[in-house]
Amino acid sequence: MDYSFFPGCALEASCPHYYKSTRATCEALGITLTEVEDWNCCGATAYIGTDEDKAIAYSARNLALAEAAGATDLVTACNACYITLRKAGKCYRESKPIRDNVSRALSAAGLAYRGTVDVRHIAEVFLNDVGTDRIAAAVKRDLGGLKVAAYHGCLLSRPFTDVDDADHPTILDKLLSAAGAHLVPFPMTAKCCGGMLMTTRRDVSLPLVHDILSCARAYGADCVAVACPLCSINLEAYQESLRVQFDFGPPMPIVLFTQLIGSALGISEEALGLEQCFVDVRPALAAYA
Amino acid sequence: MAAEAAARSLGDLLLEELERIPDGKKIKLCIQCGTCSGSCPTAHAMDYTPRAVIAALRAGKLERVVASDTAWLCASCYNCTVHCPAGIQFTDMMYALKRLGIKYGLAAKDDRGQKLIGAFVEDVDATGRNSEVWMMIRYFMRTGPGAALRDAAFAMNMWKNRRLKLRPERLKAQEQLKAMRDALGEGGK
Repeated sequence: MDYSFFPGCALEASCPHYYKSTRATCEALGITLTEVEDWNCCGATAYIGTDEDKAIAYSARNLALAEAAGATDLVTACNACYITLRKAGKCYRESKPIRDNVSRALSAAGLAYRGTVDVRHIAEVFLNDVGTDRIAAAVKRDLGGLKVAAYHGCLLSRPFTDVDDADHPTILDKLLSAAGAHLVPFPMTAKCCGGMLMTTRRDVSLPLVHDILSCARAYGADCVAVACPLCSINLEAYQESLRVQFDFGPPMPIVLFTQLIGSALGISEEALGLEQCFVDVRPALAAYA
Repeated sequence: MAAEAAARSLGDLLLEELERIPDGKKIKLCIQCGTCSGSCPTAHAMDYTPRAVIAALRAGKLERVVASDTAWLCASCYNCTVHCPAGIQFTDMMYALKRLGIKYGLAAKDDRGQKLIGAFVEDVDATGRNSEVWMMIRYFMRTGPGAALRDAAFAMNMWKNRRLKLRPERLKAQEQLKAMRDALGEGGK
């Protein structure tokens, strides 16, 4: 299976272990990812707050490059890239004023977009194109019932996608279950972590993270699995503040779902970047091995 | 306030912004049920909840909303948007409020959100990518050193885990992004 791949800025900078573990896990599952050559930032949820057309044009350049390279599907592992690129594609297809302006911008750059590319999240590709049966069959040392809270975050299941239920997504639960994890109930799975508010309004964002992690702990999770670099940082990097402000107990490991699946597929710790998590998940993994 | 905003009310300008996007006109279907505000994880901290924004729009009082913190507390989680029974594009309404505030110099009593967006755009326009580290440096240059000091431990941990990348990746085709920006001009939609 061959896919065009959009890593996004975070996988290149703050989340290299997501990049590594996505690459390694795909390779083990027979998926070839070909990076869009010279891709640019999708604009995330920030650029649109100052200029809608430029934000959509930035995303559309990536879609145009993927289309020109012959791709029908463009795969990303970042929830924010996923929904931003999907939103740009939808606006381009369905809004004439936006399409006119964005086409003009692309044309000025010597590019054109016909609107044919479907943006997909790697988790959804694992579930729908690979399938849990094949993942289970490829498992070399299953997770042994490691208790995982699967945190989907906001943008994997809403709103410009119908891959899963907007409030109660279960893609990650299905995948991790196939890898031998025990999925704990997790009603906070699609609640917001605050996103970029962790930088501008930590007073608002920290309690959101506290609620998410406390819920995971209350249901007995050994770790929280995520599918987004910003969710990952917000959940793992401020736990000392949670301890001080909310008496949050011992640190909770936050792990990319690709790291857990990759681990079950027998990929080495180094290749998955397990040592790059803020809170070490390896003791928990070892306890169930 | 700029003459354009005075001549056409902020409410009209907001509706114009929303008319461009798919389902943007559905804002007119609001029945004030409050599902949006009940779905919002940050509404408790907003001066005007999402429902109250539309009430203010209808009352011709949008200026006070734009000058408040409301839109800058939206985390773009889209929970309101997927739950609204009328299909109103609330998250895009918040983006439009941010744009109007910036454009007409009305925003906001706490300007950290604006500063972060400013740093983000400057960083992405400069390299074609969000370098994260340099975006944060640009942000701290706007906010002063206090916020940077508060995050010193965070930065140390990122460094220790080899997740702090100082040398930004740069797009090869910088001229393409510049041509796109030039084609769209300043103060775009």
